[in-house]
Amino acid sequence: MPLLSALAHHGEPVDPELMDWIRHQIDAIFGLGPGAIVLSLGALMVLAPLAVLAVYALQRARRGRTR
Amino acid sequence: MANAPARKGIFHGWFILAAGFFSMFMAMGARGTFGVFILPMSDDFQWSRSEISLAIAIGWLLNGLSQPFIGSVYDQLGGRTVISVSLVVLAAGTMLLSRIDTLWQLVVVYGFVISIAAGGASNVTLHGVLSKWFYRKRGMVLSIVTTGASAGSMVLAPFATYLILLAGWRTTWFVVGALVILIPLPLVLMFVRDDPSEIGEVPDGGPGPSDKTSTASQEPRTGPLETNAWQESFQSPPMWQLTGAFFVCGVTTAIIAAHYVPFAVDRGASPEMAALAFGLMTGLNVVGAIVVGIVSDRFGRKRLLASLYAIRGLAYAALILAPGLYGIWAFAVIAGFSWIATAPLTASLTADIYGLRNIGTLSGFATLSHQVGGAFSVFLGGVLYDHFGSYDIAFGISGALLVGATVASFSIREKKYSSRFQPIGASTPETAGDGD
Repeated sequence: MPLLSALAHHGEPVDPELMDWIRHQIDAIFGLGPGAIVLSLGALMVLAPLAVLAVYALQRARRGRTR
Repeated sequence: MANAPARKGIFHGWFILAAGFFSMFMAMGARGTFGVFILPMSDDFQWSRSEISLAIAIGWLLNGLSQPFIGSVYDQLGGRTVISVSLVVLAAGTMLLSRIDTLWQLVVVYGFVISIAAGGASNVTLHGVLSKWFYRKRGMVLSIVTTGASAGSMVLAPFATYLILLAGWRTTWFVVGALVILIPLPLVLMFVRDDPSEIGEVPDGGPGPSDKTSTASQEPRTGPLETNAWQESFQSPPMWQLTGAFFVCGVTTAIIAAHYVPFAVDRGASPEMAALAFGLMTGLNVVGAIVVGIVSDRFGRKRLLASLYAIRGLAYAALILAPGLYGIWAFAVIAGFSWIATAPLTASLTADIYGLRNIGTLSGFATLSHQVGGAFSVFLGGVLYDHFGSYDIAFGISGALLVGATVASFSIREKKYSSRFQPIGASTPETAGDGD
């Protein structure tokens, strides 16, 4: 499957074989169900940019008070 | 403008970096998760791997071919517009994948719509915007935003894998598309401004502290090769040296991505171990890119770029010459550090030498050469393996090409052409430094 795995470079589609292996490792290490993992990763993806927005809002508020 | 007083608080450029990172994260991540959908989609539709490969191959080629065009549009319309529109189209395309029923729909949506849209929210546009906001820390910032692609694949791929188990591939495509809208788009709309002067800022937030250990200028300068028309850039050697070396980058990374695991298995590794070594290599690229970016801001960039190609050449030598599994692991560790670090360094050097007026178009051409090199090497690697029954010849050619890339990068006359090494008021090569 050389064409597919070729595209794994620089953010191209990931290699299914590698993903399968990673999934088994995650299962073995954390022992969580799919729902818990989806929630954890989803929360990470949503909370990180929210934190950036919060920092920006705080800075705007602080600047507004000092004017 | 350069003397505008610095504002208190966090420099706005850092918020743009955050928006860029999450754009790259989602754009490359959404496109990069395709691998985990292959099995469930082919099971549902009875598509063969080669049929699905068609959509991916078309997407890969179109993504590369569209880069100069996207870069040109970016140079004319600005990053905020191009990135926002690209994210909206990418999100719509990704959600549409949840509704497809035929192969031609997959080819159109993934191969055309998603692949081109993802290019509008990736290196070409983001490097352009961030180069305008950062001068002293340009290398580090471009490196950080580039690692967003790796982070996106690392997080989104397992996320999609488990969500498919829970809800099926159609719902998962829809959720991934929704995340493209929810995560980076608000940040881009809120933070991204094409030029610091739009909001009364200056690059880097103002003049920095004097740094006596740095060999490069700390304040923005104009280089002697800055022109109004991008075509003129191709009349000077650095553009050819950078683009040519980046072609070799494409050759030497794509052939490994395609053939590393089969090669390792041929050498006696289990598929799991080969996958682990490949995973280690892709993980190390984040570390390598950021370290190289930071170092390149303090010193010159061309020597680092040449060193990366030389290190990758050594990794190839180890891969071919070291016995058994030693070569597999040595390659993973040594090459991992150079894997994506060449991209931000090439973009930084292009911006330093040719200025920011046509940076999108020029980066687009560099990316195109990279993709063409990758396509060429994947094909050639397969042909040579079929003919000789071994990857040694293909990897040997790659190693030899890296010698050329090293020489091409090292021979760039950075001190003569880069704006970072120009004295104040320099505008011709004759008045600039010629120390390299």
